Amino acid sequence: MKNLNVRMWVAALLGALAFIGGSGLTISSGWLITMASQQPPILTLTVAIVLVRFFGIFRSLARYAERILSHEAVFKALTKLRVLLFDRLSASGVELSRDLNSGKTVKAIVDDVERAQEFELRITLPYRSAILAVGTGVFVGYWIRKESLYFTIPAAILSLWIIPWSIKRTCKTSAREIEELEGVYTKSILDATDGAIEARIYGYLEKLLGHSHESERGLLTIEKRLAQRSALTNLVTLLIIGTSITSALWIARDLQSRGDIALVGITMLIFLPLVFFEPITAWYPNLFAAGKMLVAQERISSISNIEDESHHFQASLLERVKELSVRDLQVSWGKNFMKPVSFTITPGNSITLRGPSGVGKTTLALGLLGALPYRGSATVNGCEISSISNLSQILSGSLQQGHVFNTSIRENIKIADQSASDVTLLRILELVELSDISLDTVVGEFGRPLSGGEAKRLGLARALLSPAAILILDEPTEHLDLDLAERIEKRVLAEFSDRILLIITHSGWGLAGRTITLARE
Amino acid sequence: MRLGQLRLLLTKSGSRSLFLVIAIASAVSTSLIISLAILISRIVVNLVQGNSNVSSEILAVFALWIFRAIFQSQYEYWTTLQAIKIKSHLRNRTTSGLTKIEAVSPAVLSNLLVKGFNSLDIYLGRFLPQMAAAALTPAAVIVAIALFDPTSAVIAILTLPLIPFFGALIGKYTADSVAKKWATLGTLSKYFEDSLRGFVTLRIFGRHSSQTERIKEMGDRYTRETMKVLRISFLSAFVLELCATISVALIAVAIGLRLVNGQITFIAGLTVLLLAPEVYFPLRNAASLFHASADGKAALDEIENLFASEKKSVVQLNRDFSNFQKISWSEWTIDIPNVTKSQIPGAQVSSGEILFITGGSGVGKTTFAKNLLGLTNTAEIIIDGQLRLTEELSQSWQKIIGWIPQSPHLAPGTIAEQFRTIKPEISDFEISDSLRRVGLDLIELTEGLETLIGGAGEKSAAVSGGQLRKIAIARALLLKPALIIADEVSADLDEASTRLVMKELRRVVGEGAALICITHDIAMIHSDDRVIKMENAPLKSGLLL
Repeated sequence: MKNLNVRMWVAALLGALAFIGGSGLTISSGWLITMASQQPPILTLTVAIVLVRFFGIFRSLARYAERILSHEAVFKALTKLRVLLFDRLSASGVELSRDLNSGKTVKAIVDDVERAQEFELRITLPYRSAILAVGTGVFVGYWIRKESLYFTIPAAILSLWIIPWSIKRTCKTSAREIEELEGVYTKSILDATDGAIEARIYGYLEKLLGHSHESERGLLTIEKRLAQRSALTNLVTLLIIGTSITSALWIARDLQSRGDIALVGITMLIFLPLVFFEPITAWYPNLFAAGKMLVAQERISSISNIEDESHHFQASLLERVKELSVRDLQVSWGKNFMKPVSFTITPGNSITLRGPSGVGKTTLALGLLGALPYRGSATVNGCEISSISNLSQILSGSLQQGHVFNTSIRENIKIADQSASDVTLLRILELVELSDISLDTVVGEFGRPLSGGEAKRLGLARALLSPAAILILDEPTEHLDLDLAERIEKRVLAEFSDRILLIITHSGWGLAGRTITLARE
Repeated sequence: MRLGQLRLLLTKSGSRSLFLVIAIASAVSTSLIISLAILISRIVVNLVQGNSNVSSEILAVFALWIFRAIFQSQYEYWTTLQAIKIKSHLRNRTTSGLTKIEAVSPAVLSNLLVKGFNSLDIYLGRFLPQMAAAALTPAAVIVAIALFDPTSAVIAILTLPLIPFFGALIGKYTADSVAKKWATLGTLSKYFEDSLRGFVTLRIFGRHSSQTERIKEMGDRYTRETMKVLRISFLSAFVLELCATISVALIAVAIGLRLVNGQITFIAGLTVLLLAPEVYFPLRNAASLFHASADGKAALDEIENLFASEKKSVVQLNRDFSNFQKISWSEWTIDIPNVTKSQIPGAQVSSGEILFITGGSGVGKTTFAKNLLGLTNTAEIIIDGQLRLTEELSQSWQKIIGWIPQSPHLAPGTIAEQFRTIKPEISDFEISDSLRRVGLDLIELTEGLETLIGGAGEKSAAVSGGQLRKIAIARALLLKPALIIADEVSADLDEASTRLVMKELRRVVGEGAALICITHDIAMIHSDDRVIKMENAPLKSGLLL
């Protein structure tokens, strides 16, 4: 990160040089023309001409270099940030994996990361450039006439720190409110499309749309207020520029009336405030749009600061699995719903877990799979699950709604076992009757859409490929055609008879071993 | 979206004057720029020539600047406000027509309404005004320059077209690659998103740590590829900037040389010098906003498509179906290429009868249910043996139907409100009684009838999926519908609850209602029930080849 920071400063310096080039062009042309009007020696004129041309080219070159350097640095920083975030998630996992189950959180993180990139490019970089360029402006002003400090210093302080601070504060507050309301709005839109038919049949369509319209009005109000504040800041900034220009004119007049200034000095002193604010005026419009980026930046840093929770002692379990033993196990996110569960099971046996909806069957599965914290004890060969570092090699399974990755069927399944050959993959796919789709077919968001049943079977195939001795299958055949479900059920029980199978289900799987019924607390 | 269409849109949202105001404001800004340049040059020349009597000019500059500050900030406020209003109007319009939009998925729609519409801010609030300035200011400034120094005006006229010329040339060359850049950036971010979504799955298989390496690899690869493209597009920006700055330098040097030879006055030279950048920079600024505005333009196009695809609302016919006796249909085939092709045999259901429709997932059972509701007309549904169900009749028809969809939706509000919106005079006792009949005891819920449910998409944590379904079933039965259509009524329910619900449904049928029960759960079907099966139509068989 340090290296990247250096690059960003170099880029900022180049950006500043571009502004300095632009200012140099204006000021040196002023110098050239004033001098030319005084019939100067030809050499001085040549120097001035060369300077003007130099600044003209220099400006564009510096800008070009700045763009390349900064973009490359930001892309690299972005990759690092993504890796860092994913690492943090892996380390903390538990709490966040729950949030990751809701697509909304994921989308928010992805958006935030992108905004963090924009923040670097559009806010931080121009800010640094502005500091360097305006600082140079102050020095040049001092060199021309030290009286210029009367306006350059206050203008620099106001425009670099005080006004940006106030813009940021306003934008951040509004952005929070806007984001919150936009969230409500999105939800209400989704809800309204979701329930439009029933809403019409059961007569609450107006009420449903009313919620969306309410958020619309709320958004309008906040955005109007933000626009008003922006206008005010804009006014103040323009007044500062106007005052600086007038001050320069006044100082020049004053010095001239006392005969205290060189002729080229007059032009340069007056031209200075005309270009002094260019980095500021280029930066502010971005700043007004910075609210959401600032909020995103804060959220990102709060995720990347999550403590590593997996520092407790873990060791790998290398011996063959002899038994899974569960004693008074309770898994929950938030409140407890489930009565503690106890059972012991050895390889070659299977258990079906049943129970009324909402009792926490899926939660229990996630707990055993190591994705949620639990109370009580769950041990393999006497080792607590939470202390096993190679848990995925021992215990694995399928989720109620397993994720379909946006890649080929082959890659989707091989997540469970990288070394699996195509022959093995095809055998597993045949087992769940998915072999009519080619292994190379890309599925997921950009590929062939999978039906609910197909996605379910893909998740099941993935779990069955895993070499783990304990397999936890969460509703593996729910929502499947009954005949198909029965065929899969039979094959799984026959082919995986050497493993420990925990099957969570509402229906079917009557041929599996014991049944444990979960109950509410 | 064409300019004319944009104007139409503005008219509708009450911002008719946007273009006019932008044009006037650009004219005012340009005159301000020219006046200030003339005033400042005069001050400089006077001072250089030893005349320090310029107080009134300085005061004039100050006054003009104050005016400029107020004018410009108000103008920008006004354009932003218009953008916000247009956005709000478009949102309102889209939301109100929500039921007519079918072609777009809700996720895409909400993305357009929030993110897409926000990009209109830049497009309408900044890009359009900048475009107007780019069209007006250079021409006006060149005229002003010509008044002082025709030679410089000629240089400006000759060099100015270089900017759009190079812009177009390079733009043509880079358009594809820039589009590719955004695409690759999108892919990268999608990959990250995909990894996050599948995080729990990766974790279960112990693959989460190796995924970070793949994210890094992907990131590095895309950085390299994107930078290749970006270098080209930055080069185009470089050429444009160079054209602008070199042209200004050219004018300055030419003035300097002619000043020495006495071919131009000092004041004319200085004024032209101050004006020269104003010829080139508006164009350059507009070009730099071009990319930022692309999203806004895309959003406008999408909105246009959306409005164009809106279903015309069908004029509803009033008809009394309260004497409903029988519903029937002939064999129906659903054929969505590459997704499903299946068939349902023809059948009929009369009052007091139950018909089960079974079939695997994804054979089109829910689509058929929509036909039964009259929402679509792909199947031929006949009521009472004579009347074909059409969309015009759907609203009258739905009055006698109890509809229990696969994933029930409840009105935002309390449990009691679900029932009171349909039957305002219903008592608390009647509500809890009807809930008890489908197996929901209010004791299960701490807040009883006042428990808040539904609304804003997020299912309330206080109520489980099964409880929601039971409420939806009770709601559907409330008005004693003549025909009940239930889609996967047992989903989210355990066996005991399913039994209770089916018992209640059968009781209602016993009282004379007709019931069409779509399910894949054959456990709820009695041996003497009528069942038809919806099946995959025989696919084009390979044997025929």
